[in-house]
Amino acid sequence: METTITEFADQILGRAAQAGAVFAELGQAETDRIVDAVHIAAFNHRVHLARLANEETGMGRWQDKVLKNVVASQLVYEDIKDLKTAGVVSEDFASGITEIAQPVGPILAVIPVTNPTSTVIFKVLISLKARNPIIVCPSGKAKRCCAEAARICYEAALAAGAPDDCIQWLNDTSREQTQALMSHKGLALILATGGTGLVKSAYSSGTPTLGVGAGNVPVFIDASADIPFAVSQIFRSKLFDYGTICSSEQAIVVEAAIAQAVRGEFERQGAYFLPPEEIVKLEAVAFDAVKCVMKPDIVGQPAAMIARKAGIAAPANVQILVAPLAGVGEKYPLSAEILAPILAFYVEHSFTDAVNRCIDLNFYGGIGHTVSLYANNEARIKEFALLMNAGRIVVNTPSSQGAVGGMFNRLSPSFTLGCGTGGKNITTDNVTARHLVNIQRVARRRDNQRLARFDTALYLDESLDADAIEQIYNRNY
Amino acid sequence: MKIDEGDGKIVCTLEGHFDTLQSQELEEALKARLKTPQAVVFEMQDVTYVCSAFLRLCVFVAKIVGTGRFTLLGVTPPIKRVFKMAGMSDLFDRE
Repeated sequence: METTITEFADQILGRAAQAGAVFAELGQAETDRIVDAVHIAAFNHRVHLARLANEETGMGRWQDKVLKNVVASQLVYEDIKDLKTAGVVSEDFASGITEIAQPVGPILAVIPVTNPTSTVIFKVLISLKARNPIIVCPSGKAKRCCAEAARICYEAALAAGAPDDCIQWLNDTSREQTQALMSHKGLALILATGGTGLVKSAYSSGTPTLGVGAGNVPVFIDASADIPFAVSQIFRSKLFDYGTICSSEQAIVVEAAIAQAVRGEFERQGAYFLPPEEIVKLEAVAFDAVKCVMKPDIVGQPAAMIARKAGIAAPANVQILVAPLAGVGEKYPLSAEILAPILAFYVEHSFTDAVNRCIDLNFYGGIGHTVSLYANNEARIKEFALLMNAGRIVVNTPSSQGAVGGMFNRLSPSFTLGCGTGGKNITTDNVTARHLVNIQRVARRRDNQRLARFDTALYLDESLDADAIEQIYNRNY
Repeated sequence: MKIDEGDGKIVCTLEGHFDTLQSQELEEALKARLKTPQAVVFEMQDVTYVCSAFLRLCVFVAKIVGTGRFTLLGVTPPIKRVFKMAGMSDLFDRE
């Protein structure tokens, strides 16, 4: 007899509930042993999983996907290994408050096609660290590599003493089945990494969701920056997995005074600047004007291939396609997010105009995500940062790797980058294990001495204003 | 605050901390002059702060003269951010 959608969700969440109940019995040491074992297994399969992901999705470079798997296993592990996530995690006798970490419960992990195996490894590690069972729900275009990553993690977890079904993975789920899982009463949390539609669907399910927002990362190269270094870092980032990371650079903004030097350096390092007629050709292959989004078939593809497809006369060894633009918005399709080695390029008269342009880009589809700045002027770095709406303002750093954290800064390594309320998320943090525990606080009686000494009947006297009450309230003799 | 009128265009050069009082003064001055169709330009280069009354005034002016005929010029990044956050950036032509 065929399983109904409700039965399908009940079965999966039923198993997850049992796994969660057993998992909650484990202490910190047992949990850490499991996480250690899983990170080693994932690390040891980093190349195998990267090749699988590349073959199945046809996106990016397998060599870069290896590095993503390393970040998801080695760097994530280093970041979370000492975190207390089980039982009493802090105790302060002065305040009388004891904090106890409890697992949140079964987590549904939605996995994007752009970073499939790395996101599986990452979400499995942070979920297990917090003693939560996890259900891996991959993009339909990456289900085989995600299943393999989940299987490798699961076998290692079981061998290290984790409960049965602590990791489950889905193969061919329909939209209705995914929605049934998302809205199932037994599901505690959704880790939603993916496109806007998917994240919105997760939020609409009624289950608490840690989601992400879309990016549109402007890069301002200030006159105080080391230009050859800045350009080399942008190449390093934009070419990483051919631009599939949502924190990759989307537009370069410079002042006129250094524009020629920046352009020259870009060309020297392998960029091709498009004349206006070729910008139109590139727009046609890179951007879906009806849906107002990038076309999926150019995501994570090399620049030379995109150039050929568009009929652009770029050199065969071109690394990045650069489109000089005059504005931001619907009239300029390449000013939107495109996860491929394509950059918009803006030349502005002054620092003020350049910052204004970055604000326009930041607010055009990338609110709350990431902005990038190359500068050696601390005052300008702060001024710029204060005016942006971004969870991460990365300085003198390749933004793909910089926003993910762990490689070029001390941000928590993460494949789920919170974008704050601007990106419709609850946090601007790089989501990690500490977001996957419920903290219970034991609050012992510690009288507020000022209130205890204060005659609360005075509150009833309307002739006493705030100043008068404050004076009496704060008397300490 | 300086208001110049001519060639079917009103140019208001604004400066400093633009609070409720200043906004009211500008509103009074404009009400007496505004007719449709007429272009209105606010020169914003020296404005360091805008209050909510100023945002309301911008909506009011745009409504009277038409969105395409109302221009904010020389907006500095901090003020630009205010308009972005208020969801009003599309109301005005800014250069």
